[in-house]
Amino acid sequence: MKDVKLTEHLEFLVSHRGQDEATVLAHALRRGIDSLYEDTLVEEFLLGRVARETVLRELGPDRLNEIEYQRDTLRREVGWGLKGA
Amino acid sequence: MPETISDTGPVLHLHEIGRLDTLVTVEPLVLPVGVWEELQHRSLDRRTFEQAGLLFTVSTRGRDLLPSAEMLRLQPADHEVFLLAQEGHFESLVLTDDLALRRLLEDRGSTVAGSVGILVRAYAAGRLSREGLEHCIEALLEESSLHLSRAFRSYVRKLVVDLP
Repeated sequence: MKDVKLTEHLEFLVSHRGQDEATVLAHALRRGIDSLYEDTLVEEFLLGRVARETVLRELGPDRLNEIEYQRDTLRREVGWGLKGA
Repeated sequence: MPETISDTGPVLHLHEIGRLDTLVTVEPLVLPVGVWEELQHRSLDRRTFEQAGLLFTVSTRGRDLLPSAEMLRLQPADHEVFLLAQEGHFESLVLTDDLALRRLLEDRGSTVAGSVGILVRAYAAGRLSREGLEHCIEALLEESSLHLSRAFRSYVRKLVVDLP
């Protein structure tokens, strides 16, 4: 079922973007790899296996700021939970 | 006992994993009417809270207060949470899993916690065993409607593994 939908979406893209199938697939692959790369980079950073400077260079200061804010809220929250007994 | 103002998220997520009772550590809860309506829309009612042994009240006060321009980006129920917290000079504990609301509240000095914090608190209070906590966290991350990216799900697991 999902494959049928994927095929339909691909046909839609080919038809509406005026590009051939290979070009659309190349764009999709690029976008997918970029997204997976970012997800994995953030995960490795949060687990202490990638340096902050790498995330700063790859994703920029705004994104790093968001990541660190969310990380710190979770840290604070766990600390709050432990102290609240 | 001081009251705790709650947004929809923590109540809903803990209900989804069958652990609404863990909110007992922060009761009594005050639910803005907008939050209550969202919960009712998701099939939670007074009996759900009674079965979990939770004390709570529904407040319409937030609806009578005027939001500032800064808050207009928030969802209506989140507005009400903020306004109730503001009315109490940001001294009440506020529960939310919404990052935007959390930032607004923390900037004003509120103590804010979410679903993860409530489960850790239940563990620290002896209401959950270590195994129970890990089971609940796993259910929260994989089965509830709490949205966390894969990266942050891994991070939460690490925080829990590292707990004393």
